[in-house]
Amino acid sequence: MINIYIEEAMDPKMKSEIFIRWILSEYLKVDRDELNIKKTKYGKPYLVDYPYVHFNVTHTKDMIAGAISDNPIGIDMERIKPRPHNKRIAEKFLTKNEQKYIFHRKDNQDLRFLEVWTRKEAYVKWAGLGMKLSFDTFDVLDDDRIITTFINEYIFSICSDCFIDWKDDESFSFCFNEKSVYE
Amino acid sequence: MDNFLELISEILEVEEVSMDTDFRNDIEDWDSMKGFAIICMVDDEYDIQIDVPTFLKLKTVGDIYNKAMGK
Repeated sequence: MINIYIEEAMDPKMKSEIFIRWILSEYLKVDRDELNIKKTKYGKPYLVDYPYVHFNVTHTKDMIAGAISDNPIGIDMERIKPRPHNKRIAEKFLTKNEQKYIFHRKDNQDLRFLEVWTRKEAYVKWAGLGMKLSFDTFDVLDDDRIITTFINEYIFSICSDCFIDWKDDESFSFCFNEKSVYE
Repeated sequence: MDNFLELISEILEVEEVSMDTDFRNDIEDWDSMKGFAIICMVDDEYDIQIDVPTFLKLKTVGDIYNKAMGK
């Protein structure tokens, strides 16, 4: 089971710490100030007192999202918009296979780039190694641990050891602005 | 130097930056993709390769400029 929380945020960087505490306190039913959160040497936050609760957070300029699971998890979100440096970044940092996937057709290259990019980010965040893991050393196209979906103008990827299926509401609990999207 | 600041501003999607700008903390919309774009720009424009671990140690726009100048 993966719990996903999404919220609009005017200042995601300032809210990131608050947001993490809020979603964890909702999940664990404990006071947010009692949560002892530390970071690994690679910068991945973890709960000292709940080693079997895994969480990860991502933000854009105006949106913040978090995922909590009983398995290691990584989440990444990007706003879908044209980005002038995509092609160069892909050439320099993505695998040949991923580049071929992105550029084999002229339409929707930006979208396919973001699909691959968010999958990469979710993977390294799941692995807990941050940017220490060189992006061109692993391929994310056929990795069953990673799933990607779209919500409005945002693209999300999640990497988890759990079997996950976006269409299966037994796999997910969504919380958007404190209200389940299924309600 | 002006051209460098212009290129950085374009990647960071802000009107202007200075050498003192702490790009990770001062840029509201900072994300790692912008970092990768900066690495590509420095490679293309200044023929200097910055690897990711080195980039992670840079803090200000001035730090990037010094790397781009080969210092």
